[in-house]
Amino acid sequence: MLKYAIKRILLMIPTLLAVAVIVFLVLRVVPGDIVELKLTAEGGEVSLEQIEAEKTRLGLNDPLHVQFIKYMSGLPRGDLGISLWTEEPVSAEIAARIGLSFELALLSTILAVIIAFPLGTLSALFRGTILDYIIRILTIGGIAVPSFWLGMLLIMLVLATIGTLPPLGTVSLFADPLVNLQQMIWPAISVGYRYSSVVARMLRSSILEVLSEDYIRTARAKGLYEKIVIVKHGMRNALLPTVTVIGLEFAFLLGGLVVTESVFNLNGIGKLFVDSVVRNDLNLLQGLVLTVATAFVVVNLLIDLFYAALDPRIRYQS
Amino acid sequence: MSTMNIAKPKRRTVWDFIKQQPLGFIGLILILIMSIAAIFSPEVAPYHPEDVDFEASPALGGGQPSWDHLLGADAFGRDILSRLIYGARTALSIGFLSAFIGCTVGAIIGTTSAYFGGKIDLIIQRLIDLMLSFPIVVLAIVVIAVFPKTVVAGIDINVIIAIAIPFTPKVARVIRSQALTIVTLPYVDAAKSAGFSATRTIFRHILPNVTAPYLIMLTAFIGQAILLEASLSYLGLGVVEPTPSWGLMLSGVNSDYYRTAAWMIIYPGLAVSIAVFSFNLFGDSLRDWLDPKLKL
Amino acid sequence: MLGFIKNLVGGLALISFTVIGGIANSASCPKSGGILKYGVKAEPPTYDMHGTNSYAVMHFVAQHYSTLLTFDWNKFPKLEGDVADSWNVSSDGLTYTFKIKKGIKFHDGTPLTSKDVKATYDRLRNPPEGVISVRKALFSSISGITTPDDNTVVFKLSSPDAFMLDGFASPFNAIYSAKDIAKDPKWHLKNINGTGPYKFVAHKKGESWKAEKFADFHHGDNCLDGTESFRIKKVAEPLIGGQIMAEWRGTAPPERVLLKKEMGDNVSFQAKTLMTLWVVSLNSKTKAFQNKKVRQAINMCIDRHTGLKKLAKITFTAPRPSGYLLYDTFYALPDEELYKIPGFQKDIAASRKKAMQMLKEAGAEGLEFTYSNRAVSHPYDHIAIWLMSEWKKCGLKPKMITNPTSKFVKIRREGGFDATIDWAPSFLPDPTLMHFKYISADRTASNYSKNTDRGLDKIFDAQKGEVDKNKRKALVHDFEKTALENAWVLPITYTDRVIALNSKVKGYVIANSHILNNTWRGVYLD
Repeated sequence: MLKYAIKRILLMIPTLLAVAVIVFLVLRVVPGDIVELKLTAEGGEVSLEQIEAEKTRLGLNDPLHVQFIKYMSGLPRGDLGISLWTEEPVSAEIAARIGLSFELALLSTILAVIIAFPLGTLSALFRGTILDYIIRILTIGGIAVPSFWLGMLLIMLVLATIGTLPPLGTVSLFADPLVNLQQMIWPAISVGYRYSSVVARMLRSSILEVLSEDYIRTARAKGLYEKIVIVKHGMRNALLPTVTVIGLEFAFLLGGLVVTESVFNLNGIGKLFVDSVVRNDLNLLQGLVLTVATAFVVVNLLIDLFYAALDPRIRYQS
Repeated sequence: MSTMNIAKPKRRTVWDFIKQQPLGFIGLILILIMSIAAIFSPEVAPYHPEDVDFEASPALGGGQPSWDHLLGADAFGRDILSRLIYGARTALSIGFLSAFIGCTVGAIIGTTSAYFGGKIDLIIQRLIDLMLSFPIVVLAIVVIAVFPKTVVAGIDINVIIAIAIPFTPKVARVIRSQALTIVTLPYVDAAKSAGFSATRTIFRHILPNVTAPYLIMLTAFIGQAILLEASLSYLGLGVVEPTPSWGLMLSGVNSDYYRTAAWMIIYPGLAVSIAVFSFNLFGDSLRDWLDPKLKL
Repeated sequence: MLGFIKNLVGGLALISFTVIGGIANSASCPKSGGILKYGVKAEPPTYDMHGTNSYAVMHFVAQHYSTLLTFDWNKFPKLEGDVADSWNVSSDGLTYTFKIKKGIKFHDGTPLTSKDVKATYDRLRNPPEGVISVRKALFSSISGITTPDDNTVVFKLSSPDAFMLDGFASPFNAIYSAKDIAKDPKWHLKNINGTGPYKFVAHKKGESWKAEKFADFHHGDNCLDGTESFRIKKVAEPLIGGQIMAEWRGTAPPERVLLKKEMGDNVSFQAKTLMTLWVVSLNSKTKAFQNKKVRQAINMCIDRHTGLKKLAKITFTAPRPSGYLLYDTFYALPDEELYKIPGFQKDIAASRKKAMQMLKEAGAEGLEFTYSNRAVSHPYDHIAIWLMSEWKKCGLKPKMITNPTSKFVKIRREGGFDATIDWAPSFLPDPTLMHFKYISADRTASNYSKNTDRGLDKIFDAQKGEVDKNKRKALVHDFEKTALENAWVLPITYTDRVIALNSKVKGYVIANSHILNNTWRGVYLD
């Protein structure tokens, strides 16, 4: 197992290196100009010479290979360069915000699991009944309703009922759990609905698959009670794909909360991502994409290791 | 796995589908209605979507849902119903084209990878892994940032590419695994040894046998693409004014009207939800019907 | 409005003559204490006030600094001393002498002297390597600064400059400490040490900014315990939900309706016309636009008289047609003259008919052209959608191309458009300041039409050096008429600034620009 794990971890390195190179190259062709934006977006008299001088100062006029060497040599030290907007280290900008995104992703996951398990199981056990149809419609609805719209409606609902919105500015869970939860609960619901639908649907089809396995069919499970017994037995198999989906969704959420963070004005890496695109802050954008990809690859690895721990065959296959 | 379909083909009629998958049929009907609205927008819509009429703006006291404006009017007095109908055109054209491009390119890559195997397969696999290490939204936004905005015949090419690219590796992976089982079948082997060209074999023998997963993914991704387009437009990175787009109609500033003109944000949100819902419903049922074990 | 004009005339009259001003009495605080929470819709790109035009910097950073002069907000644009106690302009207009108030302290405890003022203005007019000063041109007529003693600073000019005294009150010219500048000229890009009413505490990037009361503030009218400002996306919801108590840039009409409905008496509004002019620049490289008749026709299709009134109800634009200078101000073209110029006439039907005739004669019937728009809803999308519908009424075929700001500014700079929205922000209705944008492209970096008009340049230079204000006015009118007839840059509308405050926030006086009066002096919570 250890050998397998080490092998997999080592395999991560070339993948991430390739991501780094591709991201660098792709972003060099971005049209747009952050210096022009900084100096003239609010009007005013700024000459081309001043703009060029500022670009030179920020290293934007360096030849491509110089920029590339600087960027690649910084990576092993965790140095992602400076944000062209704030001139702070990109790693610091990301570190300041990733906690919030992580917490929101985690909270949404918990919420999703709590909702998804009963729904998915019931839907499978009562396949073809009204209950199944209702749950299916609910869950298909969950992946159809845009989460930003749901978020907008939630804010209006809160204003109409409670009347006040939770205070602005990230409050750490450890500093003030109550305020933190007030801030997080609405975004978590708006993400969690979609998330739970995805999980519930996967759970349903996995359980159905378990029920249709040959050995179960021979058990001639027709009654509900027998079905439950079988599902209990087969749950381990049914859970595997579900856990994978949960893991993948979680990894996606780490960088994919873009829209939700915008709706709820949360200072996470999703909002930072949109800001960096709008401002054309290439260094920051590059760092963010790399971070998100790393998070994703790591979560993927954990899922694989989890699988391997459960099923020894996998270790020897690859 | 899905080779079952090839081994013992069942006779399938639309009637069977309706009987077995009533929910999917409802989805199909909704999709047809939307498609008609999209294709015949100029005939169906009561107004041109860009017709400005300040008198009908809620900010000037007008715009309530009435016989003149069935679903009300927006800040510029533009008819919401007409914008929704033309918005269907935007949503479906972007949804269909991006899903179609993403799925087709993905299918070709997937089958090629499976057909050649060996080193080519390995390289393609690695590239797919690489692309799969980004969340869809992230990849889409990066693509949007990279390409300059190009609008051809009212369709935002930029957005289509941005949505198609993240779909491609997903499709390629699924199709590859399907194609792998076909490549080993005797008749493909026969075609190979008969000296037929790779292109011929891939297009004649492999591609036709992956149509089921291809169609299933196409429908599923149209729904996802519509949702993604709405999200991007909401963020101000997708479709922009004056093009009628459901996501754009939901953009932040319109929610300032929620107390005075709630219709401005209710209907577009419903439109997106219903559209994606229909495609998911149909796609789901199509999968259940064609290939229940397919994992997306 | 009338009061405003009077003040303005008075204020401008002050500029041309020798004046001796004095510091206004420090206002006392009716109530003290509390934290003012407010929202800002943008993020500051730097802390350096000298290197930016950004209102975000203003709204976060200005509270930490003082300037040489400032304005009396109740009698704007009457000047008032900030760190200067009194000032004197020599009769030849070439020597400006300021007496600096004694006992002013920086937040780090060091005293402020004339050396700091000199160092600040040297940094502004002649920035060291690696430092950007966006107001370098503004102070180009200063030839030298001397400090005879710790409380006196003398500016020598190479030629008289009617605008100079107001320049000393420009809110961006924060006084930095000479020692900080000497330590590292770039120190202020990331650090703050001023003499302003509130002391910097913390900045959480992308999120919030904290400041606390500076006990030794020289005016003593910092009534709050501190301020906390937040980066927000929208104004209405945070105000209604009690997350913030104020936002200083301004609200759009639908937000105001919503706020009134939801908050009733708990919200108060203050309104003034904002000195930001929205213009459409026509590209001089576009073949069709090289014909003056075509440019005029494009201008004539816009129904300013009724259309702007309606537009003002959905976004924060002003409801009245205007030339380049804000209407009703001293130098502005009077309405009766403005309304004779093509594009500003009241009879829109006749105007459009003539426009279509002119287009036909020029062979530009149904002309297709691109209109570059910035992907921001208020007011950009609003203005654009309105303009598109106006131009279509003349059979023109404008194509709107909307891009996020970073791409938009690049297109604007590189001339990748036929027509583009553009804006001219200002803090004073001064002709030199506001006409600078419309002279020949080789003399200004902000003329995005890139046209050349030597005749216009001549009038501009003449008015700049003219000390007699009535003669200057005649020249300015000549400039306005010539430029408006030439129609390279079409003024669309000024801006209505209506800020929404929680009714608890008292003591604030709105100014004609969102970059003015941002130190929160005199602001208290009831």
